[in-house]
Amino acid sequence: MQIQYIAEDAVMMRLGDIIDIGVHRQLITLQKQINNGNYLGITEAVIGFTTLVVYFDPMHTSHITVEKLLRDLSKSDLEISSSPTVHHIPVCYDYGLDIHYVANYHQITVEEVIELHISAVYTVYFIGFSPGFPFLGGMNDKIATPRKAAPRQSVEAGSIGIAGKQTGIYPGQSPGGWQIIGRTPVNLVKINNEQPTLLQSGDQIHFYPINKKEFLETANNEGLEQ
Amino acid sequence: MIIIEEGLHTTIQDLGRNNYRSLGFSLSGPMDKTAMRIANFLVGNDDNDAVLEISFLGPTIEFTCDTIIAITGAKMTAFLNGYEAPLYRPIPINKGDTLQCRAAKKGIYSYLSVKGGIQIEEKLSSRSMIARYNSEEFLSRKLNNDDYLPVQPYSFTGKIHWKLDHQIFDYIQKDNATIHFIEGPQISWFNADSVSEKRWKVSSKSNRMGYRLIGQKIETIKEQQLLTEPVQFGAIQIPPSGEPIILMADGQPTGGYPKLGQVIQADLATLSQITPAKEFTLEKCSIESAMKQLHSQEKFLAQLKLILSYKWREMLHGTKL
Repeated sequence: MQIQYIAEDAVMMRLGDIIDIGVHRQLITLQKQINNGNYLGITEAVIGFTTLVVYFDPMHTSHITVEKLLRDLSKSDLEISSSPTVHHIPVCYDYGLDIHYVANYHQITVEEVIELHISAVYTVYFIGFSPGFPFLGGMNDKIATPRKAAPRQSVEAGSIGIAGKQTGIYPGQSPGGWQIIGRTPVNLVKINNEQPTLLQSGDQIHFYPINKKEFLETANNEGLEQ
Repeated sequence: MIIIEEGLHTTIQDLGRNNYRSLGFSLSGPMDKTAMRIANFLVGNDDNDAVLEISFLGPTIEFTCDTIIAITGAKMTAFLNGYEAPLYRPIPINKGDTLQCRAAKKGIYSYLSVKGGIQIEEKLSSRSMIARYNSEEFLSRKLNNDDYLPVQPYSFTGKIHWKLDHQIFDYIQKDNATIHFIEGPQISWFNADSVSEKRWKVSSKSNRMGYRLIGQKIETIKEQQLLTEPVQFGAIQIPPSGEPIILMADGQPTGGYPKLGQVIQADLATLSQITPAKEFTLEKCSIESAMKQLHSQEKFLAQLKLILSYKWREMLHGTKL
């Protein structure tokens, strides 16, 4: 475990530099303890693949106090007892602008790409980049595909993309360089809800295929940006 | 108040959206927190009350009730009912008054506070505009013509004969500014000494999310793929091109570029106000020095807040201290 004071109001803890489900579980356990713990002066704990950063108010606590808290909490081997939230997310692969590219890249059929994509169980490692954007682990290496050489100016909300060994969902319309293999009609961000994003770190995802008609029905109900 | 003409990029900002970074929301808040807080102090507000952040070219606003406003930050020309409006002091406003904000002559970001703060409904515990979330709702977009922003009516009939010393804002656009940074998590991946030897400029392709720097390419001495990790306002990222990008107030909560340094908080206001033509230098310092400068800046702002609250008490009750 490595601790760094990365800003006047932030302490970073690093647990190695390899994506690992065990490390991820450790991080979300710690994150939950800190964010639910009401510690004086601590604003929020945010995680990445192998890192956790505690943000705090430097007028109310200090790096040393936060570091000690992190070291103490890491020693206690609390595991999350509750099972993860599981989401079943529909995907219309007809909107996969790059699905033929991905299939050709691996010398397999589009049906095989879809089969490989829906047969895996994905873990939300963390949410980052933009509101509700999940960084997912668990994709089959057989469909891992490099990013596009030139990013698209605009990727539709709900687009499912592949970038190397990562897969993710664009919650809103944005520029993007991931290979788009499908689109979900589910709205990942509902700003007026108490829980404003559908997904949270630690959740699990199963994808299942739907046709265009089903896509449009759900997209309307969900108020997806179209 | 009503936005008659929206200006270049006018947004509502309080001190930012804490507690939602884990869900991908940026912290946001003002680019120049110092000027924003002083704007609030001038009208007797709390630090966190919502203000207008005006970027370079200001909006035209019509007031729909009596209130008191103040303008701080970038030196901007503004006209109240056709007469030049003073900066850095409270200005009593009557219902129907029109404020025309024009271009900033020095710096980029100006702040317009109103007594009691802009009373728009909070989204996720904040009135700062949400970055990278598109919708037609308020706080999901910059302000447009005809937007109505609620303000608490406040009538003040007294006279105001004072203003803040403009020297308080001398940090804005000073010549050859030095921006200090502490070591970033991946400083050893780079030839970091070269950063301090060079003069830098901010590219015109910069915005509330990030400032792209022009000067030189930073040499990578350790090629390694970084796994995405949490990042914050002030992080000096080095993308594969070698040209640094400093994350600003709307920076994303996690990022995958390695970080050479972190601009110290006491220098973020100065950095945010540097216009593309101005040269500046980057200089490494210790975290102890960063903390010392932060505490002295906070002490100054706390004193200023106290003095201005006395001023207000004196104006309202006539009691001198």
